[in-house]
Amino acid sequence: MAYVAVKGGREAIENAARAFRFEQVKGESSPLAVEQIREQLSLAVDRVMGEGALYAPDFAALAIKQTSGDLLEASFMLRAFCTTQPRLGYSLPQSAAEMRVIRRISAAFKEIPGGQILGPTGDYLLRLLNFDLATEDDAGHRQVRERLLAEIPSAEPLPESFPKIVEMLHREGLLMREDNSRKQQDIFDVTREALSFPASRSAALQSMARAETGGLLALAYSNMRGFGMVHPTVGELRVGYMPVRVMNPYTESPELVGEVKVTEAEIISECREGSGEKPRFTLGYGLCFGHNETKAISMAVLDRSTLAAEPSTPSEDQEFVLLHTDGIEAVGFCNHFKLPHYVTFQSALDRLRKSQEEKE
Amino acid sequence: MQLHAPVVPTQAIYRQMLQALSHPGRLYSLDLREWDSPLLAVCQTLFDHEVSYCVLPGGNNEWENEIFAATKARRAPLSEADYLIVGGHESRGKVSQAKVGEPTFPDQGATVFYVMDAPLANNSALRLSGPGIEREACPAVNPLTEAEWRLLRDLNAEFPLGADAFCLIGENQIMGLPRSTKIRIG
Amino acid sequence: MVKFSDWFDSSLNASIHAVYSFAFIDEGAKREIRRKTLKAVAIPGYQVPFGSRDMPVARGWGTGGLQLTLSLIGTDDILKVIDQGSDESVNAVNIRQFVERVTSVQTTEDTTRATVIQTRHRIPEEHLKDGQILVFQVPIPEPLRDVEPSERETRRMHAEADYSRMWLFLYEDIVRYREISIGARYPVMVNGRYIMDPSPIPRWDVPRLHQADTLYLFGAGREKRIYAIPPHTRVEPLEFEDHRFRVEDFSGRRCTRCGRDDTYLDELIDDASGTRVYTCSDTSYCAKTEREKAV
Repeated sequence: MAYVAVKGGREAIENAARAFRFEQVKGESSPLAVEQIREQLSLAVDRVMGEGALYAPDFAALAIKQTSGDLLEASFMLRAFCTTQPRLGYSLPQSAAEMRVIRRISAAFKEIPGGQILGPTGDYLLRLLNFDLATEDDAGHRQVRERLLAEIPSAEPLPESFPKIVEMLHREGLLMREDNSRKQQDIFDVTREALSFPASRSAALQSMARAETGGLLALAYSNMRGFGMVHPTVGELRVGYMPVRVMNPYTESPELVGEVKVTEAEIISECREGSGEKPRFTLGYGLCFGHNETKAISMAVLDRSTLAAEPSTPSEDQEFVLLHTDGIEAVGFCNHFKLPHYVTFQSALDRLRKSQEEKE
Repeated sequence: MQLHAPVVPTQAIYRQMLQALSHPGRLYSLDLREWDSPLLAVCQTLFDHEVSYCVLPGGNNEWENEIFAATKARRAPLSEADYLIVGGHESRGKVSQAKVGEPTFPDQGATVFYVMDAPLANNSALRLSGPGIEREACPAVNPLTEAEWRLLRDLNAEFPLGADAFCLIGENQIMGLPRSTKIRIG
Repeated sequence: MVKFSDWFDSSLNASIHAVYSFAFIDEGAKREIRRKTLKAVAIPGYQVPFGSRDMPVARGWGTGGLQLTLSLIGTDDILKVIDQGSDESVNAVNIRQFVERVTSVQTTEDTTRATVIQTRHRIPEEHLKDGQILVFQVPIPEPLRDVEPSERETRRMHAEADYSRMWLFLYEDIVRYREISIGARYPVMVNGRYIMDPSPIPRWDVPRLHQADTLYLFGAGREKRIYAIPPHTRVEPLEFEDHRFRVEDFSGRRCTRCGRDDTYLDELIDDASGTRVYTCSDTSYCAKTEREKAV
């Protein structure tokens, strides 16, 4: 009769774990240092921190190493780590005008107060393979660093902060004013409460800040391409460091405890007429951990597109957008179909045979 | 080396509460190793800064502060609180103002703790039925006045809207009365 | 006075190097799951939303059930984990090992000894007693999802007990197939009020939900829902008077291993001859039957 394994599950998964580990070490190259990943694959680290919803560059780099570079798995590891940690407190709301900016552009105006600051961007690099990198050694690496430092023309240090472009539009009455009067306890917490719909804006923005870059991009792209009405103009895109302040539990005064690198996008979209009001531009907002402009812009487009009162495309349907862009949930569900389903399949077989009999 | 910390004693309290609510009208004993009173034990098991509570007048004056100190739960008015604490066998009509939830989210209805030193005399006219109860049964002991039974019956008449109750009796006993329980008097 | 920076740094470092909480999830998360579970018991069949935490097991692989188990379990418990009825299925082994590592509780394959049983897709064949708890892993908690994709709308339908579209769906199914074609995940009416998804258990197991002695808890991690069937609760599969609910038909078949003809069977294709043979899906019960026969 047929052989059926009723024992041996434990051994099988232990061996599978060994085989997975072996794949990482079977080559002759020296092991990756976590700091190499953190410093040289920083955009991967940023993406993992954003989707893993935990700002911890060292842990993100470790997770990338441990998962052999599967960024969704690495993000997942950070989220699972969060589950084990007590919540010590809540950071205080900060205005993005306080950002220590390293890059800041606006597509809406040629000149902006404070100036366009390109900063560290690969936007204008030609996408040509650089074969020098293939043979780069320690000395070469150092030489490049020293040469770059030497070549940099002495520049004025950047100001501490820059004015917000959208504030200028607000002052001229060109932009719909968002209701920012919410108190802190009214801010929804997606890590503590299940989403219900319609979700509040705070819930929607939090969900998207944790969402998978590719998922947001696909839906935002569908909207921009034609399955939607948002024709975005990047009002301002910023990359920089935001201060993190918490209330000191002993003195009850705010304390600076560190800073996090974030990307912020504000997109301006077509006019909308409020009842009895003048037509104004509307704004979409995106913000995520690390340097990830694709994600911030996609998020801002979707923030705007889901304001539609009568959704007519997937990207305008808030429930559709928020429930299908969490990478960790999607990956888990997609892969769970690899688990055995023979009990349910047997049940389906029984039904199929029965209805075949009925037809005869 | 063990990978984990020791179990927190609220785990046992929770399991007894869960069994009590699954078997309305039965008595269960709380494992109160760490606590002087059953009230603080159940509060510490369920409360933290995410929930709100209201001690109804007539209860012990110290409860409000003791619960806050032990749990950091928020104090709220009767009609808004997630948890209500009633000293004794009845609320003199107050519990009728409890939150009963929304049709889409009936779980937002309140939970009431009745705290008493001893049960009342048995009420032979009283019958409970519904989920958790095989056919129909009298509660193991009678924790509430007839007026309070009527109040709970009326409060939960629009099931699934309603409030759920636990009676904390004497040193360590607990009885669950979920809103799904049908109360028949006489 | 403690310097603020010291307080912050030390608690952060301590948490990195120290052991995990008992049962992995932190106590605040457990409190929330416990509050929601009590509400689920009080409103049988109603799906209570909860702030599902991320587990070190992938979403969709039993994280809802796992969070329930971890919120329940204490040192006196004896845990059994099954997947497709088997204790040795790789996913069951994985979950059991994880809970063992973070709680050090005893585990068992014997259904009658277990105090908490976590399951995927089956109810054990042996009678479950008062005091035992069966925790189901649920992939899709919403029984109306196949007739209505929007969460907002299904929530309204439950609120108003407006189940006409579900009945229509079943009726159309009969028109098409002359039988209700649902295999596993057969919708049930709980306590005469809520239509509930019993998780992908076979129809064979559905009658076991009705007036049981045991508490049944259901956890959907990815969809962030907890629901429950308390003991002694009315649970009725949806059916029409002239089209009754029927369990899988194994008549004339028996387990080739233990010889039983009263259990849910797995169908296997024999490698050599290509013929179909059957064995019990509940492997520990099958082994127990074999042992008893050997005595």
